[in-house]
Amino acid sequence: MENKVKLSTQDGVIIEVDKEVACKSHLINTIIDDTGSEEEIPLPNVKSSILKKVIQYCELHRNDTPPEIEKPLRSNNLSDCVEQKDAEFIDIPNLEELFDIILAANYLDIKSLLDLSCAKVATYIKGKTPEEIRKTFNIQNDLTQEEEQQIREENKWAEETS
Amino acid sequence: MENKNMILLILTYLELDDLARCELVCNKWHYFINQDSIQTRKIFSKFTYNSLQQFKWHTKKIQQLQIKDLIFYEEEFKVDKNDIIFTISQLVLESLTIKLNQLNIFDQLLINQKQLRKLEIRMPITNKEFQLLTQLPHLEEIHLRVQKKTDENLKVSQLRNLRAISLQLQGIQYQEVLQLVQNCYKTLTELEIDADEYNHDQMLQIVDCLNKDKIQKLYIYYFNDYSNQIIQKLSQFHNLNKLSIFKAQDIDQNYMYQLFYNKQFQEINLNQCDGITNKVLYQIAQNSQQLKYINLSWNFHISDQCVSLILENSKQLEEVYLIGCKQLTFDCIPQNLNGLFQKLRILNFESCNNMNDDKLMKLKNQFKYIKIINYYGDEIDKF
Repeated sequence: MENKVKLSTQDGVIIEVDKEVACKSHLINTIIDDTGSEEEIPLPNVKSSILKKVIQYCELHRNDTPPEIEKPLRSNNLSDCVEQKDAEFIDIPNLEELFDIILAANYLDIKSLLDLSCAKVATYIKGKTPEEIRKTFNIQNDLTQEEEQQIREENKWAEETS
Repeated sequence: MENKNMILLILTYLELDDLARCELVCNKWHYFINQDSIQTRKIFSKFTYNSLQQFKWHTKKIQQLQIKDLIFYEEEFKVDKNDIIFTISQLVLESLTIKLNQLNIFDQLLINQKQLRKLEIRMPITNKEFQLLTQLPHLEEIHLRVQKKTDENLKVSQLRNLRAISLQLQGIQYQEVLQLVQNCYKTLTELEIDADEYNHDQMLQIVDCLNKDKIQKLYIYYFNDYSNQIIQKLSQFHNLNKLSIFKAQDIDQNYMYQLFYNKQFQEINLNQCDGITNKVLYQIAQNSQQLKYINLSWNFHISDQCVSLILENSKQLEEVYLIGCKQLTFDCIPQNLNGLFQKLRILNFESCNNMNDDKLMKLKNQFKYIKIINYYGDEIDKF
């Protein structure tokens, strides 16, 4: 049992994972270093459905560390910018789930997953008009007409999307 | 999305024009982009200035930006010279790419760029301008990529100790090139050269002046006078990992074999070469773990089996060109594709009579991210 650890989630589910995999999370790694891996590790900020996704990612990289993603993104198609397995993993159409993964990756301190999920969100913004972006992210336009006019004037050069 | 740091991280993956559009989304995003957030970032590895508005936006918002690679093309728009000079003088550049056809500001642009490491010039340049490069103490990479022939004999031999040289510019005298290569003997690892004006002995002399232990990348374009002797010299460059010898004809397969013997290549261009047989290809396949790019176009003596072996062994492959290889059939695609083609982006079978669309379509369905080109030079669609 020594190489397993138990993680308890926000919704009370207990998930058992290989220690090696769980330690891809800096947070869990630190906790195990401090208190050992005998006891359950509480993760009150993470839902079990999201934690399962995160573990799936850690499994994918059990034996490697993915290279840093190049900034800015070369293309809207993430397969052009990251390894194929990562592009497939993060191909999540549901934005809410994607944001949950970002928050979980941030909380669990898994930098490469945080980068990957943020890069994925960036592909939803790249090359889009402000209106399209608002629609995608369900954001209300709260700029006044004057403000909008003024920004538009400054940013005229960027209006034609390539 | 409420979390400011997350949004800022997301924004780092975007280009300047995307950021400018993001400002219009809502108050909060506008605020983020205008606050401390952007000013201290070092995010853009590459960007193209295409108008004065963009210049101004940039200097206003991002004060401490360090730009690794500034690409600056002057196009048809009307720009104020002084504005450009001022803006560029505010930037700390490591790498600059420029094409200025009308504006005569080359000298002024370089004044504050003492830390420049890489310079790429895509416009005709005079000797007076070229001389300014000798005053850049950190310059290690120079690329001259110019369509037009130079009017005067460009004194490229003024430069010394460069790490990478690319001379894609006609009309530079052979003596100048030879002297430049000699000046850089101790430092040069990458050479790209347009060689259509050189004869066999001149090329041999240039190759002789290269450091056998240093050279990693050698791209020779438009050279028409290859010989076994030249290929034999190249085979002594034991650190070579990127090679282009387009149209190396009348070469014996044993010399080609020696060229690839026991070397790990990343890029190989053997378009229209002679002497590329299965024996040579088998040698390449043996050491192709790092291979990213291979061009075997118009080579008629290579078999399906050998091509298949390369595709199987090279897990890093990104681009494969097999244009005009009429003998190849679909058997050149490995039977078991498990774990293969992870990074492949381009697979080009133009003018390959035996590659039928149905089978390529099946392949495309399996690997949607690969751009597959068929006999007619068209991209196979998903559907």
